[in-house]
Amino acid sequence: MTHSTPSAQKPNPKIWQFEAIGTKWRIDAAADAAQMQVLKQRVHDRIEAFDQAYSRFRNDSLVHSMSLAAGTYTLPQDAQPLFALYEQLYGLTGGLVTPLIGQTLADAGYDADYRFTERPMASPPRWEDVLHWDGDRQLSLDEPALLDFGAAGKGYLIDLLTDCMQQMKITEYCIDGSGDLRHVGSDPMLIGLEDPRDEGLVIGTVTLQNASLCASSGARRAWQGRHHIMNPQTLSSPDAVIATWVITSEARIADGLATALFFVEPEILQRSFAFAYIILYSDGRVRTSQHDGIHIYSGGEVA
Amino acid sequence: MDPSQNESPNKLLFGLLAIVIIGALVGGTIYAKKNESSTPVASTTATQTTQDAEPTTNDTTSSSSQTSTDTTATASSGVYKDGTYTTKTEYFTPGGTESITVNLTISGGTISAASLSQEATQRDSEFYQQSFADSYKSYVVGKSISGLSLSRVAGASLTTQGFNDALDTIRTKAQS
Repeated sequence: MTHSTPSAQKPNPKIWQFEAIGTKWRIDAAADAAQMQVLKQRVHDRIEAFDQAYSRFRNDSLVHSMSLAAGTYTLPQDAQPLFALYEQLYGLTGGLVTPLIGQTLADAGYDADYRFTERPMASPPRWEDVLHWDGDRQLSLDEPALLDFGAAGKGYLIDLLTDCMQQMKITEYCIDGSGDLRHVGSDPMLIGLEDPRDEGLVIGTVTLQNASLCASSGARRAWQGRHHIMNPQTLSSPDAVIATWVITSEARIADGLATALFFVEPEILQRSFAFAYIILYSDGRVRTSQHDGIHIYSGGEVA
Repeated sequence: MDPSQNESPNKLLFGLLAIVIIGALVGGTIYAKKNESSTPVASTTATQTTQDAEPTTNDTTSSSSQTSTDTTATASSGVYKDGTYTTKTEYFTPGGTESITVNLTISGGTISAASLSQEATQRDSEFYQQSFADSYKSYVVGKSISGLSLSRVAGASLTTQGFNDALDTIRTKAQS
């Protein structure tokens, strides 16, 4: 005869939706009402601390102060994995993914005031020329620089929020930062891959469990012939790749790789990372890695 | 010697030519039917793909390519006459000349059959031609979300009202 202990029973999932760091979030968690109360406060505080360090959209951030003056700065305690990833992506993409893209984005119009009016743009400087990171918490800038962590910042924040979940012993949850999400638990999710050409359509699905999925496309943050992913050399947005999705364990890495796939072929990134991917090109062609959970709706198949 | 030394220029040229051939022959028909709002595949787009994809880590010497087509097709409005089209393309790599042959059968304005003859002789070229063979048939058609039971949809990050308002303001200004 079997019996189950009350402590083994999981609470019904709660859904919490909110806005933060310029996008819409949804957290599903198997937690009771009291836990959710505590969780909301911790998540809110963690996001605020992150935003206050890494956002280029607020005047009180570390990133904002770095944009005003050269010098040596102390990064937050959580900085190492984020900077390490950017260092890797910068190297693998030959500098096409760079945190120094902030000024170029702002001049293109995507600035802190959302002006969306283009000013003269310049290519960002090379990392090695202006930015010296000691691999830990010291960052020195030879000149003021506006950094942007859009390529991987949200994914990293999602990973940091899983720490909140673990601390509270919540074992079934999904943290969805809109386009980037991380699932933990026993029930897989069926996720549609939004067609960037038509948001009412999906080009396929991914079955996701205990992993992260990050999507990237220029579908929403687009203005005057460009979108928020910018090639620092051409000063234009890539247009051959129109959407990417990456599946891997950490959302930080999935997020960064999804951006990098706009610039380099997956084989280049596979030298350093293990991941599954889906790439949609402007001609409607799709390329995916071999992965059981990926199903693409292929309409052009021939015998 | 690090084999990846040859990867970049080899892949650059192969990718360029393969995409140009397939895209030019296929895009006009399939693509025009599937999505009216976008432009047909053009060589420039294919070229762009390769240029964006290549990090400038190696010294690459540019090489020319040659294309020979056995059957001519008039793409006046993106519609090709029925028949079988064969194209053999040779391209230069630092390790030597490679080639690939593509056969397409068009019937009723759509592609009814397609095949490749992978003619690579170098290991890297074989790899890239095989990658292409594995993936070139995949053209997607979106399905409506309303017909599916999805937990979530993953795409570009949703925007806030403030962001949307700012974009609307600019659009209105641009129109006035």
